Amino acid sequence: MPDILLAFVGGVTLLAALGVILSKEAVHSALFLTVHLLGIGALFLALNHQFLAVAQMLVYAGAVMVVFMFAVTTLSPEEEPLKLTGSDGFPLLGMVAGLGAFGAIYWGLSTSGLSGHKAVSDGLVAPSSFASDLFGPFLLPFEGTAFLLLTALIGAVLLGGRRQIGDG
Amino acid sequence: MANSPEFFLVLSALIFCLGLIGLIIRRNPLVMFMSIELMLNAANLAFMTFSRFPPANRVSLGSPSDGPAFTFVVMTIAAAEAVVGLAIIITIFRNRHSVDVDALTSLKG
Amino acid sequence: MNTSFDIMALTLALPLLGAFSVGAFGKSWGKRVSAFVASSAVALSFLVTLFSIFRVHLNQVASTRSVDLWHWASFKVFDQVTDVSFGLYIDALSLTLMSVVTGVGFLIHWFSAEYMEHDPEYTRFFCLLNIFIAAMTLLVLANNLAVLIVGWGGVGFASFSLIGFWREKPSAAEASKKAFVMNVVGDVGLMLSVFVLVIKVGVLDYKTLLSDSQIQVLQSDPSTFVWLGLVLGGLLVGAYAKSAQLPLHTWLPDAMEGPTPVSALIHAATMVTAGVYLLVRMHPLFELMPGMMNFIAIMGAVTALFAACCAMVQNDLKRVLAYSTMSQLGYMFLAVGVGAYGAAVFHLITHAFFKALLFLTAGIVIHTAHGEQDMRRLGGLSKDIPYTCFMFGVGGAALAGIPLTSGYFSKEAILHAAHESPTSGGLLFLVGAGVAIMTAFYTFRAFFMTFFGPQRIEHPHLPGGPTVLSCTVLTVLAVVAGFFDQRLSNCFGPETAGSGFEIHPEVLSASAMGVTAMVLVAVFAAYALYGRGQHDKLGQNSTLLNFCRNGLGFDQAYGMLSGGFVLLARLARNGLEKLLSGSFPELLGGSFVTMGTLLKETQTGQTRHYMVCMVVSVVVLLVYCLLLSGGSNYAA
Repeated sequence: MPDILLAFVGGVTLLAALGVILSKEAVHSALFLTVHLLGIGALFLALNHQFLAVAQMLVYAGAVMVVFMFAVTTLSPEEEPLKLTGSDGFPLLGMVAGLGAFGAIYWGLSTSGLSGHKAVSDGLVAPSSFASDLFGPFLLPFEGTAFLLLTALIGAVLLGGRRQIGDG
Repeated sequence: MANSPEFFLVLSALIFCLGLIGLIIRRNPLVMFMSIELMLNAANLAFMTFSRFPPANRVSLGSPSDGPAFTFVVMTIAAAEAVVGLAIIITIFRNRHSVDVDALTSLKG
Repeated sequence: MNTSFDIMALTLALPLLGAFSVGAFGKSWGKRVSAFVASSAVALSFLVTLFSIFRVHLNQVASTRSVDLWHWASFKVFDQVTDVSFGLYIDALSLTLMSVVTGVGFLIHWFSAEYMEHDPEYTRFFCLLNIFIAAMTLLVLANNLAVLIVGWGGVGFASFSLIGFWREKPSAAEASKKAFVMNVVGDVGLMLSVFVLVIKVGVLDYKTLLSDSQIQVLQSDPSTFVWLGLVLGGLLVGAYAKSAQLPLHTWLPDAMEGPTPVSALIHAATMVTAGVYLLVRMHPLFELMPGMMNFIAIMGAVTALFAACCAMVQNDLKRVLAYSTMSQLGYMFLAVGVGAYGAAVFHLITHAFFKALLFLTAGIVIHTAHGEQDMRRLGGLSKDIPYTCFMFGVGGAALAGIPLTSGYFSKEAILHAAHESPTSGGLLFLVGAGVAIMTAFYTFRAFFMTFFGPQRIEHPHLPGGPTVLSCTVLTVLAVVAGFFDQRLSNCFGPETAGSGFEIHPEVLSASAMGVTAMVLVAVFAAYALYGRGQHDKLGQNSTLLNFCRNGLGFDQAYGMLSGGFVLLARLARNGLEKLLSGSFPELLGGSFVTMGTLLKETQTGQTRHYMVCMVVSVVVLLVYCLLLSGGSNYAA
């Protein structure tokens, strides 16, 4: 992938993320998030991983975002005007904390040095090789995710059910 | 640019911090959730980057599928978390008819 | 350390088992079954002891053997390891004492079965009796001083709970407290001497500690005597407290607050004999310090005299007997002090028989008289309970040393030993003889005051069969035990000659005949003075007599001593305790409340506050980790 295209995708992903946190309406945030997730998927592709790129786009930008949109439309929350300097001081506090965190991470990246890190190969990682890893050494975590999803499903049904617990 | 990890890592750090800021400055729990998704994705991006650009002495650190496997699990967790979290938010809304996190202060000491 | 089993372990296990089962199930079993179980446990112990004695006689087992049941503990002091096993030491001395403890103990159990019939806490009584026997068994059979301390403490505990058996009675509670405190004083002495032994010798079991080679090692080293004095002094304090010798005797007269069978048990079979046993057991060590031996002899004589003086003026029947026990124990210590261990053990045995008899018959008297113990209000009971009168008379005769009773032989043996003693023999003999005469007088004073003269008790309550029967057995023993002297002497082995264990009741010597004559005169004097219920001059309330009656002011002296502690304790309660339990905890609690109130403010309940805190912490930790690693380890 040419560098110019990569820079474009990266910029779109970053701007979409900015849009998520700055939109007044939750539904706009959700749409920005979709764009962001698709961008991340493209970046995965730039990192030569086919399977996760596709999974990111289908599962994340597709399925999970549907759940988000459903929740947003169900709740239809009122608009939340964004103030960068409020009486409660949170916007300022958030900016300072975020920039501090970024400073710390950037400092860590620059001091630890990435000169030793070299690309493994230029070829794409085939889904079949990832599959053999997933069903080989990572079988237990993989099966664990299945169990996790089942638990989350049951929890969601229990929480979202019409009847309250104990009503019989 | 595509052959060095710096671009991806700085991008990941930026997205992560945006998620962090969003989590603090927003009062809508849905948007806070989306901020969390941003942070998770930033972490995923870093995982994938390090999987593609492993350190020189990688042999001692694990297999090339470590990063993708983590990403895969994180995606599953994100999905599960979205389902359960949204269900909790909907339940709160049903009981209190408001989803402003600043109004939810029953844990005040 | 090789461990093995010996059948004598059963004598220890059976009363323990009895105590446990009666304590646990006695309430559901009822009185009869509980008494039967408790008594038969002790009876079986007695039979096992007899069996062991026979085995020794038939030469099936060694006459002296030390059996380690199991390894118990190891003490390490200054790189010197002392191994202590839970073991039994079985020789003539322990077997003799065991037969007395379990035999007389059984008779007292049998007696109590009827005597305590109307007590609501019958099962607790029998449970404690069995514990008492078990503790005394452990004390006697232990093959080292560490196990002996366990039995020693157990006896102290059992006596404490039995003296205070009627716990609702304040005087009984006081008496049990006193006995316990006095016993603890002795325990501390015993412990101290054991500690010194562990540090200096590193050996606690008798076989090694008292072996000839060990004694020679101690004797050859002059520096031994510096700490040996401490060891012997500690042992002596322990023995004095247990055996109620001056000046640690004050608990014994008060111990009469317990039920009468308990008094019999304490005075005859268990408890007070422990001190004598300890000294006899440890005599090779004591013989290293002749000064200590002389001290024991003199203190024994003084105690005997002191107790006899007190006994002369008592009005309470049981207190007379209590002081007489003290006096007889003084004799035993006197015998130990002059090296006549056989005579001491002999007197211990005969004393166990006739003192148990006296206490049990006194118990019958008290029952008959509806709880009256004051001799001035008793009298003429020989017409109500003639057989008891006879038995008490036999016991009294033995105590007084009337010829042909057991007490006569044992007392003569002691007096003879005192007479032969090279050091201070003459004086000790004179004191002993004087005390014998006083003993005869006060014993028969009690006898005549109780059983003769006008009848003062209306509607006497007559004793039942088992009580009388068990007393009868003791009566026979109190008479015939005196003829076992030579047998007992042989029992200690053919090598006893010159070791202090041979017994010589020289009844035909001039001095002995003289003492006997004086004793008989004292008995007739008592009859002349009290035989017809005359007014009792010794029972009056004069300053001097009351002083004697109250034990020559020892109680007051200890009271003053403890008064200081009471004052200190009161000060601590009113000052220190107020401070510690009042202001200080309040201050502490208040500070916690203030801190909590302040910290509470940080819990706003606002999710975003928590978020900020979390982010700040994460950033700080990240920076800290980066600083720590210096950012260099990863790049390589």
